[in-house]
Amino acid sequence: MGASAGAQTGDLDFFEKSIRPVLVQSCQACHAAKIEQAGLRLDSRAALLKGGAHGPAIVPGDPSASLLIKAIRHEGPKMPLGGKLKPAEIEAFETWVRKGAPWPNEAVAAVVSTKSIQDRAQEHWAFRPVAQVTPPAVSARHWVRTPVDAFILSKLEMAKLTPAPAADPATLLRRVTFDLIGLPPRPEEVDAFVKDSSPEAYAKAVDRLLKSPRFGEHWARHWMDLMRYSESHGSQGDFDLPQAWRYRDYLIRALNQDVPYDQLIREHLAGDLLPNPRINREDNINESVIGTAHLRMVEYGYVPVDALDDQFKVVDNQIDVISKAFQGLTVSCARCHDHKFDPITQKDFYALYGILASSRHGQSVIDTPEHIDLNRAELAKLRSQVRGELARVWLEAKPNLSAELPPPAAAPPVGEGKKAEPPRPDYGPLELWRELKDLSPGETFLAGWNRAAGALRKELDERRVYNAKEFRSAWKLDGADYLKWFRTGNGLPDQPAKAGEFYVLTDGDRVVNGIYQAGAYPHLLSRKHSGVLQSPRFKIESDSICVRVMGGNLAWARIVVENYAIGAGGIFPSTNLNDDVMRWVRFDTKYRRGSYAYVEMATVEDRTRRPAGVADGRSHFGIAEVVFHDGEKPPKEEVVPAALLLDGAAPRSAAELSDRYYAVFRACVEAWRAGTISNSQAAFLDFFVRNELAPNSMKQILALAAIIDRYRQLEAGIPVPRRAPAVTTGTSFDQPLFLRGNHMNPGDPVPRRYLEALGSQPCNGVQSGRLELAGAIASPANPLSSRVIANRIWHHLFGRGIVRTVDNFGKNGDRPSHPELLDYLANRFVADGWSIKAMIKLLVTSNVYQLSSQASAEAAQGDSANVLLQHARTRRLPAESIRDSILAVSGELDATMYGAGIDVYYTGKTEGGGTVGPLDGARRRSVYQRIKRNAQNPFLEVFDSPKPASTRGQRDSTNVPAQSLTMLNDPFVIDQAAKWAGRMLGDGGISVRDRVERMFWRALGRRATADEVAASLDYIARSGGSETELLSNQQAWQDLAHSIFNFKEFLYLR
Amino acid sequence: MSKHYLSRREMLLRASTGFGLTAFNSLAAAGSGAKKPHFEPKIKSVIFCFMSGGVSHVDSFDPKPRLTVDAGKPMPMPVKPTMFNDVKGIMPSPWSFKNYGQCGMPVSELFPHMGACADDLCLIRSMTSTGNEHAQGNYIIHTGQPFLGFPNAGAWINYGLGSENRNLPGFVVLASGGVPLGGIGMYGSGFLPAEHQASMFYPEAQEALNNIKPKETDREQLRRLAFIGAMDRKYTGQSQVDPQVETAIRNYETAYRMQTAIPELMELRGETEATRRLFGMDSSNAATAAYGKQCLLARRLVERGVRFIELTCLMRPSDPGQMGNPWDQHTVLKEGHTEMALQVDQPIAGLIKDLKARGLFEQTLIIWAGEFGRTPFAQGTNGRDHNPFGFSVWLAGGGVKRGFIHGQTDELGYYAVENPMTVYDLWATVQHLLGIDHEKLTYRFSGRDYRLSDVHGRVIRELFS
Repeated sequence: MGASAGAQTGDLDFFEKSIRPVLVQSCQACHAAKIEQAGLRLDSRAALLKGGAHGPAIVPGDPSASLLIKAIRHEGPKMPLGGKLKPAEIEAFETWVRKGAPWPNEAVAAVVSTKSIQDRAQEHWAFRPVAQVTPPAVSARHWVRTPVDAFILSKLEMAKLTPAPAADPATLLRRVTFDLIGLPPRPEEVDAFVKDSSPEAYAKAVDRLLKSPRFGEHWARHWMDLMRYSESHGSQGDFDLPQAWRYRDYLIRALNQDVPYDQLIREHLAGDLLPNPRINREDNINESVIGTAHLRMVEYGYVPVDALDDQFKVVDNQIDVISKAFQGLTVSCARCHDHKFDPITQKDFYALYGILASSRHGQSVIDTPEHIDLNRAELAKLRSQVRGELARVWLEAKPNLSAELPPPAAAPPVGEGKKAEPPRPDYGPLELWRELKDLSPGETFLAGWNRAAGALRKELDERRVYNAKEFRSAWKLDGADYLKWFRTGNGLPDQPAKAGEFYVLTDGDRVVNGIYQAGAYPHLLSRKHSGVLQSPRFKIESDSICVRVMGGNLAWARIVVENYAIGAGGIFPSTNLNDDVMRWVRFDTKYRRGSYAYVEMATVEDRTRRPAGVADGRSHFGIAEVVFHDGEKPPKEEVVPAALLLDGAAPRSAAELSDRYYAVFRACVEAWRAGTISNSQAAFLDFFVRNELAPNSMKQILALAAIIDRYRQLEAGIPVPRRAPAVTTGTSFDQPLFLRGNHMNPGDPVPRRYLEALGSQPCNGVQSGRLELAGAIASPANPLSSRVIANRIWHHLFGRGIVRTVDNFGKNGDRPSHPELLDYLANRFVADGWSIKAMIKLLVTSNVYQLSSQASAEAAQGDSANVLLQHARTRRLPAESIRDSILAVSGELDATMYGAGIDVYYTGKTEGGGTVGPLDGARRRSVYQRIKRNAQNPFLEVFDSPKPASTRGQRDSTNVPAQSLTMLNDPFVIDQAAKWAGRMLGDGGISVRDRVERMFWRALGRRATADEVAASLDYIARSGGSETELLSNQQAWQDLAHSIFNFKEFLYLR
Repeated sequence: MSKHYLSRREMLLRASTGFGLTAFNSLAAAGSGAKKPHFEPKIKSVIFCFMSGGVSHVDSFDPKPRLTVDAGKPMPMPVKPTMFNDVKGIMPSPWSFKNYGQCGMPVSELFPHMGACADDLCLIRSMTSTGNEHAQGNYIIHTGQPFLGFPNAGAWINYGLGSENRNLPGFVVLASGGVPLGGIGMYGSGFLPAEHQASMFYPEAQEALNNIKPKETDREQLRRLAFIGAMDRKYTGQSQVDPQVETAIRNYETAYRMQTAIPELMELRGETEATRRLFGMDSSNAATAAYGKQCLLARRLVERGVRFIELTCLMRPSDPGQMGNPWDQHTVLKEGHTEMALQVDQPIAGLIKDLKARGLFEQTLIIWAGEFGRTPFAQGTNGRDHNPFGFSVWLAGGGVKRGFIHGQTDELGYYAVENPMTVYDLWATVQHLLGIDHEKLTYRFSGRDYRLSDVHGRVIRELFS
């Protein structure tokens, strides 16, 4: 809309160059959608023509008559607030208005080329289909062990280079062991390998390593670099991402099981939507659902004033990670404009934005249903017995009002022993009783009744009228609207609960907590059950939103604004539920008017921000209705149990009123037993139960004791569901394109789809499109997916990718050094069932992998960067392997797998402190150390472990003095040297020489040379003494151990 | 202990076998890792006095009489959303202002010492930021972007110019104060190589730099280094010399020398009593003394050719909870700012005077800034909320005007209305003073040429002398 008729391209360029930037920069902070200061928007031509409080902003063709021009000239209102525009800028505006204020049709503004994007894509190698290639012919055919060798040799021969000789067995085993499992080979493994001269020896070693559980631990870390794995959200507060480590464990399991890569892609993008999820029977886990956790590993702002801006940053980061990690593309570059180099349009960015923003940030239960639905049927059966038994007892009981009723002032107990303030006037069942107990002097009972009943009737009418007038009901969760909401967790049933539900208390003498009104509850069988209930997405257009809710143990109700996942109070409306009776709660939403939002109810364990002091995994909530309004007060209570007493002839005495109470009570219980109880009746009954006017004690009802005991036993047996970070289904929507990347300046919505360059079509349907996105990426037809992953595997094994820029296959990235080889590998990868292990095996069993690192003189001269791989590359070990090697060699390594991260050992300062972990990281592998964005592990960081900001497929391998200082002086290194020396003193060899040899063997995976032994003996012998004395000199051996950790041979792979 | 021990330096020079003489000589000869700037620089070093939490401009360098006249009235202009959504009436400054120096620059009672240096200050009253909360504001003023992953300005400058001193890192954060909200990631090198990130020096700690202190005697360490060196030479001797292994070997020599250079830097015994007093190190207020020590160390770092030094504010003793954002007075503005001003006023003024006395002022630029200013209206009864729309920053040192005021905010000090400046402009200008063209200093990362000024930034020449 708003394209000015007949605008010339030149005029539009002028607009884009001179007008729009100024509007964006200087005007739209106040005059755009949602803000509209003085009712004026300056973000479309139509809006300018419409104008604001003072009339149209422009008169096309007539600058002097245009208010906008007057304002920027400072004739009258002085605009913009940020300071007068420069004369040239003012002149540009005058020119522009004189020309008729040409404004581009936004829908077409983004197109930069007449050529179709798909045609442009085909001009770049990475977008062309993967070619079917056969290995080239070579002269030295005897050298070719695998097809990989033929490709490498062919180029070497063209360059007239001869491959280096094979590495010696010890070097080779050290290389492949570190590459596959990230740890040094054990001495006995080296020994066996060196001695085994059979042709299968190497393949056997490779198979052994691929089967080792350590394999997944090492390769998971590679993947975690791509997914910017982190267990906290950074920014101020650095809030925890609960259970993030489950994703790390998922990766380790998946890689060890060699789950096909296309499956992993599908799980990462749509694991929650797969028709046949991957079930882990051993742990009773739905593995697939954990895949989406990486979408939550984002940095959220801290209580962002501008929540949409924060969403923009978060989605931008998600897109950045997905496009780089899976596709080697930098789609995020297109958020402000079409990609400068690659066939990626700004619309592509917003098409993906819609897909991702249509999903919500939360947690998902990862247990299999049978696991957490344990005892469900039996509990349901017992529960109906409880109802039957209670009803029986209650019908037998006759509440004696005058004797048993509490004095009016006493607050009734609410919840499990908690006192809560009763709402006033509550018109609870006893209100009339209280009033009529003390009649006015001279008043008859009947007159008193008529007065009180009349007042109540009037009050009820007024409430109905008031509520109907002031409030707009948005959703009734006790009815059909329930099905319009998004439900996750095993606690929420297929239909909302009718009035009369309850839950059986799991400790104490009381049987039930109370009787519920109709609504949605996740905890009717067990308060361990999981539940998240979310409304559809809506635009906040009222000053207040009221929810009719109840709940306990820090379950929460909140308004989630623009998908900001960790909002918990302040300018993000939220409340902790600690009141077991259904009441109205008001959220002030004035501040957030114009924002998109949804209402969320969640149990404590399902919250994205865990409160402190959560104990047993139990909590509960209920919700009945949501209303919108502009006032300051919530709706008046319309569920008024006292009203039930009004039916029938007027009672003439206290005794008759008492009978009326009893009759109503009986009717309530009967309706309850029959399942036809109304909300008012439930509230009536609830009052009697909570106030112990109706028997509710196991001591009182002996028949129930056995049932309740059994119930509690079964409930105790239910596991607390395990959760992992996840995205979940919400309302799908198409994201308006943000003009020039300014979120205050939305253009037309872009239909959700994947990249146009890859021929993607808009996703039809109510789903977000994540499933289609997963399909588009996990497809053999996608030219990037298989190339990118094959190249990554190559990079990890050879120290440099065939495409060196592993995260960028675009025009600005490097071209492949061996394009045919890359395509061969990509095809082979798909043909081998997308098997990562098969690809690794193919590569490491090639001759080229097994080369020595000794360059020939010709190669050193002609190919100094060793692009052609005449010899193996020398590589520094990654940070994790350095730390893990030290632990392995010292004998300290604890091979325990999985579980919550170990707190980081930290001596320096960090924001807010946090828990400091043990110096030795509990002796666990580095992959199990906790990763907090604002307090990263200093030891690993010195050796270039990446910051969890975005995809990092190629780590730095820096060389800085801080690394030397760490290896020389860090207490961890020294401590481990001491531990290793201690072990050696225990059982490390029969002579000094023997011990030196053992230590070399253990640390370096080879025998020490005579020279080395001599030098070492010389070094440790400095302390003097006999051989026996030396053998028991801890310091001497610690010194040797510490020095060995500092050998470059220990830190580098050859 | 034997009397025959040689000094570290002698030992190094005499160690004909083992710990590499050749390499040491080559390093000693090189002397400098400095790179050529794009054009003649005005300054060599930057000292960033970061006022974490957001110092109030309307109570320090930007007097607004209207705040008193209109006290309690609602703001007459649109108020942007605030973090606490607790917008009260216009709040007068609890402090009076006085004109200082030849230039007559008004400075509030909060900063009498800085006021006395008014003729040396180049005051910017029209700074702006896009971050409205601390972590994002901190990341923006340090890196130009609101989150983790981008290089600190100090890292960029280090990357662009290299270090003049091979025994000290080129970018140092003096960390006796708190870590600003958002964490130490804002001192990082982002996508730039890690060697450019800040080294955190802890002036008050046992170990001024993590792992700088040998856990063994010098003699033992030299023996160890000789042994390691011998083994490493065998390793490199076996195969084609790999440059990265060679560098790693050389790093041990640099590391060894840093172990001397850094304690020597931190050792203040050679400084006179008069100098200590000038920096406020004799103050009975422990925070003033500690901040004074940072200022003195900053001068010593400048003397040693370190490019970029950032100072950290200490917490307020009366509110230790605000470690990372001690200037952040959403309540008790008067008490909080008084305490904080007492901490930094005299030390920073002392730094200016000391640099001038030693002839270092001309080659140094001091930047005084918070991540944002504070609102002219009250939050609650006695606090001010965040205000990134217009606030004050000052520069002092080589290449910039003195006793000069640039830009202004509106009558209430809410929005910058004249010559508004962005963080990108600030760093483009600072880079220019260092001889760097901010549009040319780029680094290619994942397909894009990044720069400190992103796609923005203007050199504000009006500030230049």
